[in-house]
Amino acid sequence: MSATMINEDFRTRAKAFLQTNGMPTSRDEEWRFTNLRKYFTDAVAPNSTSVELPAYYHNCEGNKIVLVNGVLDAERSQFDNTIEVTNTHPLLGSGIQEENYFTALNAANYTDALCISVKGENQPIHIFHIITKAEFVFPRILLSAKRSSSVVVNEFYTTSSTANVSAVIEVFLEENANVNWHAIQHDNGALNVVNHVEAQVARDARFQYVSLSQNSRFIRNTIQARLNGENAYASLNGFYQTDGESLVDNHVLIDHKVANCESHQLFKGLLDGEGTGVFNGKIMVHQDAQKTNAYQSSKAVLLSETATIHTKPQLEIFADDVKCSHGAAIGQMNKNEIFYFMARGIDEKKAAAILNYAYVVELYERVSDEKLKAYLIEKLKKESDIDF
Amino acid sequence: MAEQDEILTQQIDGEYKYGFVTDIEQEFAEKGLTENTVRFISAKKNEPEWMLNWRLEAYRHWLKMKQPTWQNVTFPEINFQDIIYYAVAKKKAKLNSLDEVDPEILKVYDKLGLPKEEQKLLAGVAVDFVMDSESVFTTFKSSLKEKGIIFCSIAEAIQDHPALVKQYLGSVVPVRDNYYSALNAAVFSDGSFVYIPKGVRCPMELSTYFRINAENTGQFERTLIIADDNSYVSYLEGCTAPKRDENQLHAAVVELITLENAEIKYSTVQNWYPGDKEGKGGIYNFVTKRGLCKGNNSKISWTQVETGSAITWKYPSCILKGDNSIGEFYSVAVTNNFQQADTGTKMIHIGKNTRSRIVSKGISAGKSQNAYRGLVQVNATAENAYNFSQCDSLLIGDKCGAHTFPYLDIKNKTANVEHEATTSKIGEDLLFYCNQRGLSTEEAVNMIVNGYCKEVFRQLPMEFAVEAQKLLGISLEGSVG
Repeated sequence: MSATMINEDFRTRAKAFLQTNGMPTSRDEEWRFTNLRKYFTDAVAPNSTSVELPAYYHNCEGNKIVLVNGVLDAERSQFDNTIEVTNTHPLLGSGIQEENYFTALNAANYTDALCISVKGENQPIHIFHIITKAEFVFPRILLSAKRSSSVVVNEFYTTSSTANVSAVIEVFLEENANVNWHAIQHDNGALNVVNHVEAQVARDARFQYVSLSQNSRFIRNTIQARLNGENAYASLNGFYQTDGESLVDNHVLIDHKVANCESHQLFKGLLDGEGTGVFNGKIMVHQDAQKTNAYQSSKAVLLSETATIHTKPQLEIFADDVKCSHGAAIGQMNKNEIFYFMARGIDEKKAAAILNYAYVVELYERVSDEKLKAYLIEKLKKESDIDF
Repeated sequence: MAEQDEILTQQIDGEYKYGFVTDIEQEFAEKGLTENTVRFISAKKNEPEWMLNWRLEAYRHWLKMKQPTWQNVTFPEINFQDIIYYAVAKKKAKLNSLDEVDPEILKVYDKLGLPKEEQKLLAGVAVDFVMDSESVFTTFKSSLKEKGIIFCSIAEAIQDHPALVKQYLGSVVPVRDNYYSALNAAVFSDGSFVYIPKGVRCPMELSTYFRINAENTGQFERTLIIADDNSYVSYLEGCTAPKRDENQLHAAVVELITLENAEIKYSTVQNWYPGDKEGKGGIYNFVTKRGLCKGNNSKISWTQVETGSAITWKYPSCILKGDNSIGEFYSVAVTNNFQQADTGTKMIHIGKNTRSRIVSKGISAGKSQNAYRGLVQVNATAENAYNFSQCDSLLIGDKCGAHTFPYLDIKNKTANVEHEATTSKIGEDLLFYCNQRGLSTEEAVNMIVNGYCKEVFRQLPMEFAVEAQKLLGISLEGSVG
């Protein structure tokens, strides 16, 4: 690995940005329903500074990368020599098209960047975030997928107590590259994370993203795919579950810049307690992006009297020869379906559990790493008390 | 061939048919807006003191407000000191028959396509004709009077029915609601007032033709419709305006209130001057329209066909407060050339078992921008609320834009909310099929677009539906081929 060398250019720009821009408030359209101050005020001292790696660390095969408070833990990380891991990259910082408060905060404060370059076919890359301190942590990740390469990245979070994270992930897909990214945001309920993912997708490349956001305190995912070359493809998906006072906010953007691209979005929420879900999905089709096909679907189920969902599926279209659609549905479990189960001798509780499972598992099935998928579905079955 | 070319040219250059100016003597207020302007208007109207105070409160609040900037439209800053806030036609005699009407005004009727013979007969439509800011003509008043229905200008209502006005004016759109509603409250010059008493079904469609006349006169109409228990009324609002080079501001406020079991159906066909092909001129249509379903089992239905105006910016909304109340919004918004539209609705569910339905069809052509912006809000109290929204956009040409900004804010688990939106262009196979059967591309587009909008047109009263279809054709002239 080369010596620490931080691209000072974009860091200086970010600092300048922070001089004139404060933390967003609910007056900011992008943060209308998400009160940051409620979640980012109390920095509780951590219970212990040693955090166990999750069980999956020991089960998984392929490349393992451990980031402790955003810094690479070389001892516990192991990877093939087919992937190149450095702490800087010429493209670092250039994948963020529009600076916002948190991308700038990260750029100004990160201490170590994880830059990965891949070629050809690759073993999955598992990234384990371990957070052991209460102060803000700034993981910064860059993935450069070379021409016709293919890789799966799985990302996990583990914390000891209240953790405040502002992560920035830049993904560059060269021609015909294929990246499947899975963000497993399961935690012990103390994680506050603002996660910015931005993918630059070149001609014929495919970018797929699945986030599973559960058992956290506050999650804001800003997921952006910019389709820069013809026949590019992006599929952004997410499942989110809230309980207690937790909040999950998914802000998704697919930016169709050129013609003949395709995009899909599927987001599903399950909201309980006093939880709040926010979904903002935007499809932007530029004037040159003729023959675009873009689809978006957003569903949410409210389980309690006090849960709230704010949905804003947005289309901005400047080209005429396009097929774009979005659908949003908010409701509760279908009573007729529960009745159907009960008529066949399955009690109401079990019926609801099965229906919930069926609703959720659709997103789990989009995980393209078979081993991880099996592991997660097994876990989900246990949690939902399903035995088939 | 030459003849065909000529017809084609005429079609393409089809200009705004209703762009004419009527010379009628007018009485103006001084240009600009100060507290004195507000006092002047109030004095001209011979208003009681409470009304003046209400206006002044609005004016003082307006001074503290900022122009909103969140909307998806762009326009040069409006100079509110460059507007004449009050203009009134001088001839003001109360008339019983058309013969007594000023011949100039009759000419306006003719140009609007309202033959005078037909006016009296026109399928039971009573016309409260607003010539600029003043009601000058009301027919069918006597037959409405029999039923106890009050249909008059808001100025008359302030004089004759102060209790009703005092109770309801500003109750749905408060003075402080937004920048333009505050402005309207301060300077509104006239508008319509309707009160339907308990148990009365209004026997005819009530209608007002608004018309902006006199250069540099922003129109600030105020409409208040109250449907008491078990009553029904259908109200039509249709608009055409003379051709102007300077942008004209129109900031109206419409308030609807339905009590128990009452229903109001409010239909609009808006065809104000959209500006010329270079995007010069045209009306700014910044309107606040809101209905309150106050009583249980009440219903408010908005239908709008928006083809005109340089900028259309309005969200006819329903507050569903009564249990089992229903809100509906049907809209066709057509933009061509440099027109901009940011329109949609808000459905606020407060009562139990409330239902709402939104059908919005946006058509963008030329270099126009067309946005749907809507809010469906289900409060924690609104058990079993149901909403269905559909907003479709049709793009004609590759230089226009279509946008949707739907907000769904749900705080009750029993809510059932569905939202669908599509954006597409007219299928080439459809056009080919029509061409093959001898229809020109323009005719085919017209037909397809009309079919696309049928769901909304069906909600309009018959005469309006016919007018709306014609307008759609005129608006889209020159957008294909």
